[in-house]
Parts: sequence; structure tokens; C-alpha cells
Amino acid sequence: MEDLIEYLKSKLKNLNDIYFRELNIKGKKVYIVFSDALVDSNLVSNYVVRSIVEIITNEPVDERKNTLKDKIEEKIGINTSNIDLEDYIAINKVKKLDKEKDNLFTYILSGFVLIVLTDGIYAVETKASLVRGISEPTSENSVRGAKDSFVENIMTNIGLVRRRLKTEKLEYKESKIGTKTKTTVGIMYISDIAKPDLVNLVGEKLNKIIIDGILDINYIQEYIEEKNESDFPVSINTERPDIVSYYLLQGRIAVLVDNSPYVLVLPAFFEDFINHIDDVYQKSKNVTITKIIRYVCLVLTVTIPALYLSLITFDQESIPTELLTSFAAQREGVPFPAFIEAIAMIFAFEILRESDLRSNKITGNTMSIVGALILGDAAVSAGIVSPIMIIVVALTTISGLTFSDINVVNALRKWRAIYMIFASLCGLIGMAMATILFVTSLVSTNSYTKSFTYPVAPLNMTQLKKSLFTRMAIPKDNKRQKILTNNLTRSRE
Amino acid sequence: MRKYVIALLIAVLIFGRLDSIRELTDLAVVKAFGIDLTEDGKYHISAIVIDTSDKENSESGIIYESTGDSVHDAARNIVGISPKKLYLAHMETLIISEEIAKDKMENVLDFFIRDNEGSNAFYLFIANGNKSSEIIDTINQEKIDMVSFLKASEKYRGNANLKNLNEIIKTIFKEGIEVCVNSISVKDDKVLINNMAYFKDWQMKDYLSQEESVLYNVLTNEVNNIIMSVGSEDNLAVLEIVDSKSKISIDKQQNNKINIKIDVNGNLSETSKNIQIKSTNDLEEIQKSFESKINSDVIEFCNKIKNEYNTDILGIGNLLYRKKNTLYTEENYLQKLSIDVETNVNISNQGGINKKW
Repeated sequence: MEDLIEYLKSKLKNLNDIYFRELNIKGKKVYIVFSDALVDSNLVSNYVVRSIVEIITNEPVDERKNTLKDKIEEKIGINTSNIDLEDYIAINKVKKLDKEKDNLFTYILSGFVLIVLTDGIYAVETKASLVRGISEPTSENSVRGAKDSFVENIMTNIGLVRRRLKTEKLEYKESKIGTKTKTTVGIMYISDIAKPDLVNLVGEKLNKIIIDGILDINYIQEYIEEKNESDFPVSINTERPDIVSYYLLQGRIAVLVDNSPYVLVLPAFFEDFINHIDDVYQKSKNVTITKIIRYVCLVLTVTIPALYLSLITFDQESIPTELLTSFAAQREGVPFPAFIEAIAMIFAFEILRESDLRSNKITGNTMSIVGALILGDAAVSAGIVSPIMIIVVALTTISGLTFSDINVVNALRKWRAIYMIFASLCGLIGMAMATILFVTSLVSTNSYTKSFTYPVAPLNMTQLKKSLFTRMAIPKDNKRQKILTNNLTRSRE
Repeated sequence: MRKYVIALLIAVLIFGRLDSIRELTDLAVVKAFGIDLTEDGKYHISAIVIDTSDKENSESGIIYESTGDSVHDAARNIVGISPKKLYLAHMETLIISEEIAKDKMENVLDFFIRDNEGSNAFYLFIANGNKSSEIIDTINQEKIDMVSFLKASEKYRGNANLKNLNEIIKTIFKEGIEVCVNSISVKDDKVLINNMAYFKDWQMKDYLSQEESVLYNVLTNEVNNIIMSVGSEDNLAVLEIVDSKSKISIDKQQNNKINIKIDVNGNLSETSKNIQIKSTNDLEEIQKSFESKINSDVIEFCNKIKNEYNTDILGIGNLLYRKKNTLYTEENYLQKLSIDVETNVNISNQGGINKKW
């Protein structure tokens, strides 16, 4: 026992937050080891130390309190001096450890209290709550939806989903990933809806991960999307438990990572990034216009700068004369070629966005005002850029912001640049070529053995009718999608 | 390897078009173009170029004029006086002088047909009585939007049609049909869209009269909103035609007989005091008087085409040609035709005192 303590002390001598305590109760030596930073000291003193003392001395420390031990002794009348600590300590999570097999340091550094006795080592969970409370979603807004969002604690996150899906079929399997971080990573699915082969596939992919640390959900995302060479993500990143529950009910699988307030849902299709959960929370008949706006935005944000470039440098005959005259009048006196002007302005707006994202909230507001004034007004009055260019860039940017997933926004930004290069080299024909590339890239993307562009390619008319421009009324929409599940009926068990 | 081949193919496609790159600010966008013939047989061109430096007023234009041995030569010579290259794809109006129309129409239009820059969707005018440079000058001074001007003239006067150069050229190349082209002139410093000029074999012959221009456009279904009147003074009745359809066909029994059927739908827009509509009979009488007026006008116009103009602007030859009628191969086939006109006028609205608002 002393050897073990010495061993631990030598190994942990540079970790000054590790606390060793020696208890000497009626000649019986007990050591407790824990990390001061991770444990709740109230739990340690009131439940661990007190329990140990009570168990060993066979009498309550506090006479006023009827401990569990007393009750047992009164009822059964057995001597507790040599009974297992595991059964009697007043904390739920207790485990007897084997000093050869188990890594004791992991337990100490996960917020456990290590109780070292002559006849064994016990780990008792006394984790302090080191996370913030549940707050409103910050990156995914919704008008009518639930206002709770995931936090950094995986157990809270599981709880948020379980609150919505009260079924024993909602299964959760966890594993520890990361040789240094030992991060809890769990997968969640509804066992009678999700396809078992997909669950196995994800499980296998998670098992294969060998890395020192998992700090964010994106580590997992990149590992399990390893074969995805497309610019678009093939899994959904969301911070909202209602979205996760919505997808779980469709037969998708959620991957949760401790310390990340985002949950991964897979597989994802391209339409999932265009559709929004708000569509489900609003009257279905009015969703059509919203959806059309989003499709238009998708096209606009990718093509508008390229279209402008090709119209004013190559295909001037394709626009009405009045518009051409207006363009020409505005371009008069601008010192740069149109391509340079467009690239410079789009770059400037990207700088504005990046600095807005990175800076703290107080300076951020000032910066956006300054940026908008300089880029918008002053640049035009100085004659460096044409006003139409500002309109083009503004339209591009606001259209791009209709998509909430940052990976999608960035992918669209990349394709916007490709479109612009093609358009600046050969006009509308170049845009046609870029479109061919874009479509080719989209349809060749694979989302966990499923096609990314479903339901357009492969064509599924039933699903298209349901979701392309409309949303089917919820009472009528009683079939699940065949691509995600084998259990198709929604309306009965 | 395959990747490189694809990349190379894309590169070839892309860079092949790089030489046609043109910055908008380097183009002189031509709005209207006029061509005259000088005394020594050279071409004199005048072009209205949109003035892009005037940001407030996009209507204003600059006129460039130059002379050359060919139209292209003259257009190139403009580069000497203008910093920008003439850009013809957005041209709205082409005005050619009467001499050119009578003699060198083919040569001049060839330049525009061959030019791959533009779409040839502009309107062709014959300068009627003026030099085209004068008309170009007036258009620029008055800041006239020629397209809406022509559209208004087509819609409310009916003596002009909206056939653009493409359609005119297509008609010229058809068998057994000749074209009529809008004409334009300047009167008291105002631009006037004048009566149509008729052609025969690429050569302009003369102008139709105002009524004939309207009838021509009605018979070729180019216009359908005109005004026509019968009677005079106290018996006057004016019909505003809102819809007219005409059909020219060969009689099934006699192969030298041409039937023209005209369906007219219109509103009574003005009547004098002797015209009283008290029953449907009265209305039918007015309809009949309009029918007989149209009939006699059309017959007179056809006779004039047959005997005086001797040019097949209505496309009867084309009709015969398509039906493999042997008459078409004969010379002066127009004179051998007998023409029968049937008109049906329907007055749907007589107006009233009660206004809806």
C-alpha cells in the first residue's frame, strides 16, 4: 500500500493540484488521492471521508444523522468491519480497481477520488460541475423552435436529447478516445429506426481513431469523413437538441463528444443544409416561398460576382442596353479592371467577416461600422470601386448568410471564387464550365455510402415532392425515408 | 494522367476565349447608326455613341462621323477620332439613305450580317427625303428612344412594323416575297416615322402611302391596333381596331384565284350625330359599312400592287411556291391573279355614358 502511494507520489510530483491525504482511523491506514481542481470538495469531505470513517469505526460521525450503514446494521445485524467499501460508500459511482490493469492516473484526472486501502483501491466519482448552464443557441437561430442548446458536458447533452425521446430504443454507446485526453465520445441512435449497418460503420470508424487528443467535434468529423474530398460536409453540425431529435427520428445517427457544444448528425444530404428546422415549425403551406428564397440565395451567392464579371467583360450583348449604359457609366473612371475590382471587394468583405468573427464583441461592432463605411461609402466616393460592385458584393454576402453551417458557407465561398476565375477567363461559357465542375463535384460526393445529392440524384420523386419546394403537412407525412431506415411507418409502432 | 488531360482540355477551352475579353469602359456603345453615300461614291457613316461619362443622364450621346471606301473601313476610321472601339451589339437603329437603298443595299447590309459581334436585332429605316446623318443628328438632339418611338408608331398608327434586320433579311431570302421597310424623316426639327418603302430584288422602289402602309401591315399581320373611319361629317363613324387577323390563301377550285379573309374586332370610338345605334340592326349596318370599306380598300391596294408597283410584298408568290403552283414560274404572275376579299367586322363595344370609375 505504501509502495503504491510512493509510486503515485513520484509520478504525480509535478502535478501540484493532486492532493494526497492520509487517514489514520483506529490504527487502520487509508489514503485518499484526488485532484483539487476537478473534484467537488463538498462531496469528498461529506460523503467520501465521512463514509470511510463511518464504515471503519462502525459508528456514525454525526450522531444526528442516520446513515445507510446504521440502517443496514440494525436490520440485518452484521458486522461491517470487513465488508466491501464498494457497497457502502454513500456515492453512486464506485469501482474497485486493479492496480495492474487499470490506469489509476486516468481516474484521478477524471475527477475521481482514489481510496487506497490495504485490501484494495477504490475509485469514487466526485466530479465537480465545471460547465456552464444550458443557454440559448448562438449560431442557429429559430423563430419558433426550442431555445435550449447543447453545452460542453456530454451527460447534459444526452439528457437534453433523452428529454425529447423517452424511449428505451434510444441507445447510447460511448467510448473513450484520445490517448491523452480520454475524451468521451458517444453515438446515439434509435435502434428500431436506424439502419444497423450504418451504426456499425460509425462504430468501426470511431474505434479506429488513434490520436493524442480530441478537443472538438470537428476532430471526430474529420476522422469519420476521411474519404470525403468534397468541399461540403457530409454530416450536420448542430447545437440544438430538437434538431438532433428530429434527425434521430428519421433514422440518422448522432455522435456526441464531451467538451463540445455541438453534436454531429449523419448522414447528411445537400438538401439538409438548405432546409431549416424552422420549416417544420411553421405552417407548411407558407414554406414554399421561404424555400424558393433559399434556393435563389444559393444560386446568387455562388454566381452573382461571376455573372457580373462575365456580363461586363465578355458578354455585353446579353444585357439590355439601358443596364449596360448604367454599368458603363458607373465603371467610368474606376482604375482597375473589373476582375481585380471584384476580387478586391470580395476579399475586403471576407476580411470584414473574419475580423468580425475573431474580435471580441465590443470592438467588433465598431469595426463593422468602420468597415462598412470605408468599404461601402468612401471607396465609392473616392472612385476606387463602382457602386454596382458594392451592390454585387453585398448581395453575395447576405445571400451567403442564409446558410447557418460554417462549413457550407466556406464551401460556397470557395465555389464563388472558382466561378469568378472561370468567368473572368471566358465569360458565360466559363460559368457553364464551372457549373459542370460544381455539379460533378456534388454528385460524386458520398455521404456514408449514400449519395450526397439525394433526392435529386438518385432521383426520388416521393421525397422531392415532399421536400423540394414544399413541406408535406405533418399528419400526411407518415412515411420515413427509405434511404435512412427500413422501418418506414411513422404513425404506429 | 486523365486528370492532366482534363485540365488541359479545360485550359484550352478557357484560354481560347481570352482574346475576346473587353472591358466595358473600352467600348463605345453605339445606339444608332446612319449610312450615307458621298458624291464620290464613298460611304459616310454617323453613329450615336452613348456618353458614359455623363453619369446623371444616360440618354445623352456623342456623334461620330467618318468616311471610308467600305462601311467597315469607315467604322475603323472612327477609332482615329474616338478613344474607344465602336461596339455594335447594342445598336437599336440603322438608318440608310435612299440612294443606298435603291442601289447598294446588298453591299451595306452584308457588313452587318457578317459581323459576329451583334445579334442584328435592330430596326432598319430608310431615310425618307433627308440625309441619314441629319436624322441621326436630330435623334441625338431630341434624345429620342427609337425603340419605344417605333413601338408607339406601330401600335397606334400602324404605318410601321417591328420587323428587325434579322427578320427582314430572312424575308428577302425567301422565294416569292418582297419586303417593305420602315422609313424615317425629319420635319421641322422633329423626327417622324414615315410610310413604308417597298422593295424589289434588294432594290427600293418607292414609298407606299399612309393608308397602304397600314393595309400592308394588317394584311401581313404585323399590326392589329389601328383606327379607321367611314362616312364623313355628320355620318362619320370611327372604329378602333383592337384585334385583326388576315389570311391569304389560294382558292381550292381556281388556282389563279386568291382569297383574302380579314377578321376585325374593334370598338366604336367616335360617331357623328346622324349615326344612331338603337338596335342590333343598326350596329350590323355599321359593321357592314366598315366591311365594305375594308373590302374596297384592300381590292384597290391589291390592284395597285399588281399593276403599278409590280412587287410581291404580300408574299403571294411564296404561297404559290409552297403549293407547287405552276403559275409562280411564269413572269408577271401577279397580273394573272384574281383577288377576292372577305371581311368580317365585329364591333364588341360601343361605349357609353357610365364610366366604371
